[in-house]
Formats: sequence, structure tokens, C-alpha cells
Amino acid sequence: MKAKEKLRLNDLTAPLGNGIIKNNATFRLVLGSCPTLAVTTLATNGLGMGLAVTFVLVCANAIVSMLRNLIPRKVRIPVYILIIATFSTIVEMVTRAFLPDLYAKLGLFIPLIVVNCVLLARVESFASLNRVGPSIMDGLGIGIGFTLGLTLLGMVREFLGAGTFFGMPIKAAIELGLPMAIFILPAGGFMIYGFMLVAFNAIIGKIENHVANKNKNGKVEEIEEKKEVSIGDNA
Amino acid sequence: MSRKLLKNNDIKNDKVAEKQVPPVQPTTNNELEKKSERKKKGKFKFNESIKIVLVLTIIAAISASLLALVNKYTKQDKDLVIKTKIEEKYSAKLKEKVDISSYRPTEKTVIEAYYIAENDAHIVVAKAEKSDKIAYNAAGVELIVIIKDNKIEEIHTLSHSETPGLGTKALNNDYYKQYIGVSLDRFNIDSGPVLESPSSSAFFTPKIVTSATYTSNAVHVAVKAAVRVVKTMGDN
Repeated sequence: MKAKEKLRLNDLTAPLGNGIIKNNATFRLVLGSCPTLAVTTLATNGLGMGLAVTFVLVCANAIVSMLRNLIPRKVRIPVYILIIATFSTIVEMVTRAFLPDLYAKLGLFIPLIVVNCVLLARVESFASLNRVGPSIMDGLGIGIGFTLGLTLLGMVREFLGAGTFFGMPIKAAIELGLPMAIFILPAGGFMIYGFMLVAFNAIIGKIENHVANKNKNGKVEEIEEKKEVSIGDNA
Repeated sequence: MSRKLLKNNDIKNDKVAEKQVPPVQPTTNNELEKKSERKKKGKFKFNESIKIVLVLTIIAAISASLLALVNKYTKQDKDLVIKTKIEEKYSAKLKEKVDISSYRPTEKTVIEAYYIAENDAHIVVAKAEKSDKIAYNAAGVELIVIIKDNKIEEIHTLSHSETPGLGTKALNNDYYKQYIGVSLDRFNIDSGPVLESPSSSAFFTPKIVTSATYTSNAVHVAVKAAVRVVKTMGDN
């Protein structure tokens, strides 16, 4: 029997950070595009949907990780879907009872969280292969990243399409005639999504290049220092 | 030549005889082990199937129990929800609930509740279901229509799933203002969910919101449904 490796802090923080930026479900992994475009007509809808998905993802990741050694490989997908569907239904029941306004706005997309590819992808690729702690943090990171993506997209579409910010009308925008209904419709949603994809990936790409160059320069300096030291010793 | 043929035939017969000889039963330990392994593999497949069924059954049972528990604490009484919403929107207290079990609404409309308030106002919760050019999304439009002294006094939105920023333009107080004060006699309650044509000036024709036609139609259908039940069953 293999001895359990001790959990390090990096094992918990790395999935959290990666999920928010590097593996952002909306702008990097491009998963769950269907609810992304459907519910982001308002920023509050995007925020609500994101929080619902985060809850389901964290719970599903935790349970699948706990049961990863017991679930037979042959039936792993039906089991994962069963677990995700259970938590998705719990979210639907709770929002219907305690948040009826949000339930009315999100409508059919709450039960459709079950078939959101973000959940199945993370459960299959991460939770089923890792321990409970990192799996929970991965779910939390991916969920927060998804929520941020939806909320940002919702804010832009709401401002351009309805001239409001989280439901509050912006007088200046309305007076200027800025609200254009197309941005609330699917065509406009695709356009905004596309532009935000490009912008997000460009920014992250530059940051990654900068970090890579920094590390490369650091390594080159180390090698040069070692060479100097060895030359000094030989002399 | 014949001797050669005979020899060949003998060889052939011997080969056939060899093939017909029954296999010798394993006697060595290695052979016995191989046989038992083959038997174990068969058992292994059977055990794996049982494990799959057991795991699926247990997970399904736990899921069902969890959902039943959550349902127990989140189950809503629709009548209570409607009553609470009416009390939020209308100041007068509710006096009695009218029994509408015998009432048959028109096609694609539903009367959820009918109350009479202490000030003799008739409060109807009417829903226009999605149909041809009525309501854009599946859930339809549900309104609280308050009728007093044979006129529409107030209209409030109870629930809808229309597109925010588009359909919702026809689901606010500014849009409902055109109905306020309109006499019930100006509604053609016999026409069902069909909208009046502009030429029928005898009846009230609402102004429709551009880009929210279906939602505007749904509002009109829901208001007509409320008017119909009050005229049919109320004291007007």
C-alpha cells in the first residue's frame, strides 16, 4: 500500500489561481458557452448563474474525489452525471424557494447546469485523479473564474444593450442614445464574447511571455555566475 | 505405385486417427493452475458486474434521499406565494377567495387565483401561456390584475421569462398605465386569446411596444382573461 503524500500549500493554491486566470472556463477553456451567451443579458443574471455553477462544481468535485477509488472506470461518466445532476437539482429547488426573482430570470438554465461541459470536464480531468482538498480548490477556482467571466460579459452587454449597470439606469448613456438592442440579442452577445476572448487571451499571453522571459533571464544569469565562479576557482 | 498409394493412405488414416484421439486430462501442477485461473477470470467478470450495479444503486439511493430531504424544506405552497405577492403590491387586505373550480378559462390562459379585498376590489392572478405570437418565452406572462368599480385599477407583474431589456419593456408600470381606468365593457371577452383588429374601435386596443410585440400581446391576453373571469363570476 502506497504511503499518502503530505498535502502542500501549493497543491491547494495552484488549482485556485489557475482556475481564475490561466484556466478561466469562459475565456481560456471556452467551456459552457451556451449558458454564457444565454444568461448574460444582465450582469446580475451572469453573477447568479456563475455562483450556482460554482456551488455545483465544488460539491461535485468533492464527492467525485472522495469516491474516485470506488467508482468503476466503465461507468464513471453516468456516475459523474448523477452526482452533478443531484447538486444541480438542489440549486434549482433552493433558488425557486428562496430566490424566486433570480429563478424566474435564469429559468431553464438552472436545470441545464447538469449538461454544462465545465462541470463534466473538471470532474473527469481533475477531481477523478486528485485528492479532495485540491479538487475542492480547483472547483472553487474554476467556478470563480466562470462567475467573473459571466459577470464581466453581462456588464458589457447590459451597458451597451440596455444602458444600465446592474439594473441601475445610467442616464448619460440613455441620453446619448447608446443602448443598442442588438447587444442583448445572441448576435451581439457573440460579438462581445469574441472581442473579450481576444482581449483576455492577449493580456494573459503577454503576462505569460513576460514571466517566461524573466525566468529565462534569471536562469541565464545563474549559469553565467556559476561559470565565473568555476573560472575563478581554476585561476 | 499401388504400394505407395497404400502407404499414403495409411499415413492419412494415422493422421485422422491422431485427430480423433481424445485430449489427455491435465495431470501436472502447471496445467491445473492454468485451468483454475481461467475459472477465476470468469468469476472476476461476474464480481465486476455486481460491483458496478451496487455502486450505481448506492449512489442513486443516496442522491434520491438527499433530494427528498431538500424538497421537504423548499417545497412551496403556490397559493401562499401568490397571496404574499398580492399583499406586497396592494394595500387593501384580502377578504375572501372565490372558488373558480367550475370556471373554464379561454384557450391558453390560466386563472391561478381570484380574491376579493375588503374594499370590494377583485384581484385576479391571470396567466397568458406561450402560443402563436403570445409571449416570447416558454413560461408565459402572469399578472395580478386589480379590478374595482367595473374598471381596471392596477396591474402588477407576478412572473415571466421574457427577455430582459426587450420583452420587459412591456412589463412595467409605464406600459400598464394605458389599461388603468379602462372599463371592463371595452374588453371583448368572447374572442378568446385572439387580439382585436385595429378597426374594431368599440373595444380597447392597447399600444404595442416595438420589439416586444409578443410580450405586449401576452399582457393583453392576461388582462382580458382576468376581465372575463370577473365579468363571468364576479358581482359586476
